[in-house]
Amino acid sequence: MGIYRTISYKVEDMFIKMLSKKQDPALVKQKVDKYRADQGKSRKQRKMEAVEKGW
Amino acid sequence: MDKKVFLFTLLFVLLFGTFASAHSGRTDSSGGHNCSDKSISKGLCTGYHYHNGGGGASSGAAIVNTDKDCTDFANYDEVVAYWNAKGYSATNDPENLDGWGNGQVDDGIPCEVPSGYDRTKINNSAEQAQHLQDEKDMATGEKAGYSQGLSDGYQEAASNNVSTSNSEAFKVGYATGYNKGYEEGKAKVTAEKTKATDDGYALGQKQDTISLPTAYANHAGLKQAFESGFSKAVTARVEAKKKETKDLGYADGKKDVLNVPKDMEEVYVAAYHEGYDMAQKELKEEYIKQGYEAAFVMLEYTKPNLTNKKLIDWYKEGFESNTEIQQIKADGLALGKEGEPYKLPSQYKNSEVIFKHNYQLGFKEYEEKKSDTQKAAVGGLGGLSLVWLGRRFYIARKMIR
Repeated sequence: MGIYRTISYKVEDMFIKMLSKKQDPALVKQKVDKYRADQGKSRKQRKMEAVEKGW
Repeated sequence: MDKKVFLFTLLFVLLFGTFASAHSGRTDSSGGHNCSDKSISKGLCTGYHYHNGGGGASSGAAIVNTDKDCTDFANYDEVVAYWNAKGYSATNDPENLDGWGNGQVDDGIPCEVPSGYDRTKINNSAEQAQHLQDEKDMATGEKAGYSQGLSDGYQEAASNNVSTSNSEAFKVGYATGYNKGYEEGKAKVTAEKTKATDDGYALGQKQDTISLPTAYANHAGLKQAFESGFSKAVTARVEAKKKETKDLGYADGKKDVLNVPKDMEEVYVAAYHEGYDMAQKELKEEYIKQGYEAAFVMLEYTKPNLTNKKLIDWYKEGFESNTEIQQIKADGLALGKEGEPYKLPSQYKNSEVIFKHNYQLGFKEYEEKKSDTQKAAVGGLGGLSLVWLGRRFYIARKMIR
């Protein structure tokens, strides 16, 4: 994972912490992990499509 | 006479006991003899000739003969000296030195004269008579020529030393005298002309109207010299006064006060104006230059401490005409805009104020520009950061919904 993404995740985690004080941390963590996993899949898929198109 | 001489000689011999002979050769019974080789070589005689009228016997023993014969002389000069000393002439030749010893008169020339001999030395000769006449004519001609030459030279007439009449000797004397007189006359009139010029000059220094002295009135050259000197003095006087008036105009022009002298001739008024205008021109150039120079050290035009508006205007004209300053300003500004450290070029050392001021303006502009760039960079970076943070915030909210 790149430095940029690491810093972005850290800053996002900080905002999440601020915004979800009244929520269940485990649930929040689940939502976050799911979102990031979906984002990861989407990025991989876009890369695969780009390879297939010969970009 | 011969007898007396003979007796006197005999008495002399008896008294002193000696024998003397003035004759180098004996005569024959006819009283003559042949010319010896020695006498021929000396040119004293030729062939047979007589002495003492001829006819007398010559014993060559006790007889003393004082009658001279041509052969008795060593050379012809001695003959002439004897002839002249005796006062002999063509009609008085008792010793028969002239002719052939027969008592007849020949040409008044004793013995045989050598070829080319100067016969004028021989007293009472025709040549000597002609020579004396020539000398007399020459002296007369020289006197007449001198008189005419002196007159011609003094009157500055063309030289003409030729006499159309009289003898050749007179003509030669005339030419000599004429040339001498002509030169003296010429020198005399030259000296008088110098004096006439001086007199004319002296009069011209006193007055404007010429008054010709009678001494110069009858001689064209002297008259002209006097008039020339007079004219020169008048001209010099006029020029001196013109210069004086011009100087006055010049002084007034420098003071910028036009004060034309009254009751003055037009020529002098013109000279005054000439001097005045010259000074005004110089004054203008002077103040224009002052203004021009001031532009090198003044950032902005400042009115000089003068009361004369004309001078102030000239000063300002000079100040504004300085275009060199534009280049100095431009160079200073350019150096400052580039952000370079201050460094005064040597050619601008007299206008450092201008150069430095414009450098500072340029440098200030440089600093401002630099600052703006930095601000823009910082602003851009801040914006991006905010956008990035906004994005992170948006995603964070999206994830926890």
